[in-house]
Order: sequence, then C-alpha cells, then structure tokens
Amino acid sequence: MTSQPQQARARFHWLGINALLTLAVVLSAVAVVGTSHKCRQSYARLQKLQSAQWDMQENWSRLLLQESALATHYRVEQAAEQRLQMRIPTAADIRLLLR
Amino acid sequence: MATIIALLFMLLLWRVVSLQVLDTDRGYEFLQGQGEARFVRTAVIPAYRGVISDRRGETLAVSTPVISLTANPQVLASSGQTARLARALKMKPAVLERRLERYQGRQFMYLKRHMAPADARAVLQLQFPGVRGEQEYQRYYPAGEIAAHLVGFTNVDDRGIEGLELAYDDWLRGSPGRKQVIKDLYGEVVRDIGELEPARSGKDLSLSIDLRLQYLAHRELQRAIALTGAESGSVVTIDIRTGEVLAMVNHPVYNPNNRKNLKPGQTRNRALVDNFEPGSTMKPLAVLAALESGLFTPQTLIDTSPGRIKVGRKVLLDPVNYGEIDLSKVVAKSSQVGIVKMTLQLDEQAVWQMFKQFGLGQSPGTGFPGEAAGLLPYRAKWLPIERVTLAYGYGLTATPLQLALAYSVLADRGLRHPASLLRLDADEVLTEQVVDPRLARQVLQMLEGATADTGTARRARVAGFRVAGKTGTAHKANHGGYADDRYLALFAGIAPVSNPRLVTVVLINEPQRNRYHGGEVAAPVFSRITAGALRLLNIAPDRRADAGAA
Repeated sequence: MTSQPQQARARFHWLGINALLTLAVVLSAVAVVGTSHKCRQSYARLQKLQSAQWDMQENWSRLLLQESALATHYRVEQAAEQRLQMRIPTAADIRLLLR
Repeated sequence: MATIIALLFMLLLWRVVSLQVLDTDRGYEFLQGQGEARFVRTAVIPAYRGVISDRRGETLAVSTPVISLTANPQVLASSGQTARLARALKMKPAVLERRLERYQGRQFMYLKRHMAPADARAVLQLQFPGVRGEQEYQRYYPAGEIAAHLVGFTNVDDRGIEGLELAYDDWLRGSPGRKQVIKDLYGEVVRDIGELEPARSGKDLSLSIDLRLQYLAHRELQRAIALTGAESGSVVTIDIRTGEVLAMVNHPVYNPNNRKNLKPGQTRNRALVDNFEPGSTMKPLAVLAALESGLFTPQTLIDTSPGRIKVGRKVLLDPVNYGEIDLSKVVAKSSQVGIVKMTLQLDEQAVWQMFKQFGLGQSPGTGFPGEAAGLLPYRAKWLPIERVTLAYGYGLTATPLQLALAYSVLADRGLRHPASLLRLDADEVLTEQVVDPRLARQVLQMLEGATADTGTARRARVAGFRVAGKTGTAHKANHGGYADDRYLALFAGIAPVSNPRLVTVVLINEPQRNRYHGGEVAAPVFSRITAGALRLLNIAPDRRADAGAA
C-alpha cells in the first residue's frame, strides 16, 4: 500500500522524465536539421572546390601545352644557334681543372 | 451515418500510419525505395591518372581535363534544333541527323568526345535541349614523338593500350569515385546530393630515361636515317652502373597526340621488341670466352694468312690477308679468320656459355609489353661450323637492349645489372659478377683499339674522350638464306674508357646508297650521341684527351 504523498511524488517523477525525454527529442530533431544543413553546406563547398580544382587543372594543362610547344628541344636549339649565335664548345675550348 | 464516416476516417488514419510509420511489407521503406529508384542515380566521378615523367621530373604523359558532349537523342530529335547544334559543333547537319536516327530508341549518345573545355562550354551555353557536358580526362604527351615508343598511349576510355601506359596501367590508373545525383523526367541531372566514394588518383611513374638524351638520340637517329635512306633504326643508351635505360628511340616514329594516320608497325618499340642477328658485335664476347679458357691472352698470336679458312664445306674470308696478328688486333680488325681459328681451339660449349652469362637468350625483364628475349639455341653437340658461326654472331638473335646490356657487363668490370625502364634508387640496383673483372678490362682495352686510327670503329671517336666499341655489319636473313644486298649496320660502344659510364647501341636497318658498313653508318651516330650525352651528364673528359681528339 502506498500513501498519498508517495503516489504524488511518483507521478511527478514520471512527468519529469517525460519532459526531459521530450526535450531531448526536440533538441535532437533540431540538431538533425542543423547537421543536415551543415552537411549540405559542406557538400556545396566540396563541389565548389572540386570545380575550382577542375578549372585549375584546365588552366595548368593549357599552360603545359603552351610550354611544351614553346620549349621543345628543337625550338630551343634553333634559337640558341641562330638568334643567339651560341655553339657547343669544342674539346679545345674546354679547360679541365683537376683537383 | 456519423458512425460510418468516423469509421472510414479511422480506417484512413490507420492506413496512413501503416504506410508512413509502421514497418509493414509495403510500407515506408518500400515506398521510399521506389521513389528514389525513379529519380536518384549513381554517377561516376572520373579518377585522375598518374603522371609519367622522366628521371629529372619532366612530364611525359599527363591527364588533362576535357569535356565530352552527350545528348538524349529522343529529346534532341524532337526539339527541331539539330541544324543549329550541328553548326555549333562544326559538323555537317546530315551527319548529325544520321547519328540521331541510329540512336533514336536510346536515352544516351555521345555527340563529341574529348573537346577542349572552352569549345565545349561555348556549345553548352547555347542550351540545346537534352545536351549535356561530361567531365573526362584525356591523356596528353608533351614530349610527343620523342618518347612515344617507350611511354605508349591510352585509349579513349583512359586505359593504357601500348608501352608503359599498358605495362603499368594498374599503377597509373586511379579508382573512379561514385556520387548520387537527382535526375528529372528527361534524365538531366538536377542536383548532386552526395558523394558515396571519393575518386582516388592513380600513382605517378618516374622513368629511367633522361629527356635531354632522348631528344639527342632521336635527333641523331633521324638524321642518320635521312642520310642513309634506311628502313628503320634504333638507339639504346644505358647507364652501366645501374642498368637504367637513359635513352631509347626508334624509327619510324609517330605522334601519340594525334594517332589518326597511325600505320601498323609505327608504334613498335623496336629496341625492345625486334630480334636481329648481332653479327660481329658478338666477337668481343667470344674473345672473352677465349681469355677465360686460359689458352689465350691479348698478346697471343694467330696466323690469319692467307685470309681465308675452310670450315666444313664453307669458306670464310677476311677482306684482306692480315697475316700473323695478336688477339687484340683480331678484335680491332674484326678478322673472321682469327675468330674462327680461336674458337676451334676452345671447349665446344665455351662461347655459348659466355653468351648465356651475358644475358643473351633471356628476357631482360623490364616488363615492357611484347619484350623479346632473343634466341640462343642450345645444342648438346656442336659441329665446327655451328661453333664458329655463333662466335661471329650468327645463328643467335638479340634485341638492341640485350646487346647494350651485354656491353655494359664488359664496361662495368664484369658486373651484370638487370635492365630497368624505371628510375632506380641506389639500393634498388641488383648486381651479379659474371666474369673476372681483369678479363673484362682486357676486352675493353681491345675494344678501345678498334677506335684507333687503323681500327674498324675510328668514326666512333669522341673529341676529348677515350671510347671503345665494336662495329657490326650483318647480312639480313631472308627466305632460306642470307640476302646479299640487305644489311644491318650496327655499333655498340662504351664511353669513357678510363671510367666507363655509358653504353650506346646504334642499329640502322637496311641502309641504302651503297653505304652499309657499321663503321661507316652506325659509328658516326654513336659518336655524335655520346659526345652530347657526356657533355649533358657533365662527365669530365679523359686526362689523355689527345687519344680521342680527331
């Protein structure tokens, strides 16, 4: 047999737990909304960075193309010999310093 | 009445709860799955293929971003804008119409693959219905034809199909990622919703070649081919201390960036794949077998008069009667008679055994697709003619790389290293002592004699350096015999003699215009390549510089 005040306390107890759980559910629901929002934001950022990476790669390969066209060994050789009048030193031009 | 409505309402509520909340057979999960199956798709994220570079980090193969234009033929065909699209794509409208007809029952077709991103974007900006751009990678080869045979190429789907692109495909290839996207009624991507698996890039590959040497060898080979009107040719340069291939070029070449006019045979890396009979270039190894037997020294005299010798039913000739000469002179003059007389005094298996120790008839083990191992036939019993033929380099085949490797054993004090097409770290070099270093040195000195004023290889000399080498002029075999008018001009050489670093093999196949001797056709190519290579690698001239000054 339980007394009247005891019953009241038990009821209050349950009420407290319920209120706590409800609060937890609400909080978690808000957190879920927040997290999925953050997730979406991060993914958007990732996509932006990926497209930036793509653009940079694009740019890089264009520059590489330019470089390989302008700096071919053949072209450099022609420029050195004809425009800059350079030549490969002969054996007679080389002084060997021996230590 | 009110009761019935209340009851129906309760039933409705129950149905809603069972669909939305409870885990029934055709409930919440089933419905969501069916919904997603109608608009969520998994799309592939292309992976970046690894970069191939030379030993100094110069790019040889790189993946560049491109855009492939795709279309939904059903949407496009009904839009009535095909003529305008064809104009934008610089295609003939009739061609596009025909292609649309061919794909009329489908939801997907490629309009144009691998477009430059700027061009593709110009088309996409016009917003044709059903036309979309797909990001892909295309392989680009900055060095072009210079390294084409070694590097190889990939197909339109970014898979290696030739050369090292094929051999190391698994290493270079990344693993594509997956992402989820939402598509609308027309199959167009509306929105990305998330990445299931990120794309992983492939790994990079560092080759053993030095692009500067590669260009040099390429230029000189092309020059020699143009001068001699030869059919094809190869040059291989290896670093004798490590077995790394520093340059490997062939003729004919092709442009890996534009393969529209590719002819069969053009893509073949002859230096690794084609076998030939090495001829006189094998004589130094036979001489080494003689030195190892203890019966001969470099000073042993051999009487070669009257300049011909009969073995079995065959008469073998020297161009002139050299008289009594020592073994060094036999090598320097490449005397057939001297080699024959020497070989007949040796053990039956001695020459074969020596060739085998130098790696002939065995795969060099570079892993290159189609790499040839040459042929060094074993016989339990040798006829005299078979023994001498082998000693002067017929009756066996080798690739230019194998010949270069054999010479590197002579150059590096009898040490043999496996060939490598990849850059090696110092601790990755494998070494095996195959002959006595003293004997290897003796043969090297004999080979230096061949580049002296009276030797067959004098055109191989390099100003400021001492070089050693051997010429070869092999008759080409054709149906059932040797052709009289088809030759291989060969040169295998080592530089500098005082402290050997490089071995270069030059092979010119079927030179024309009556100049076909190895000493005349191939040796000058060796000289020009070696002079440049020694300078580029900053190798100090020999102290006895006067010995090589031409």
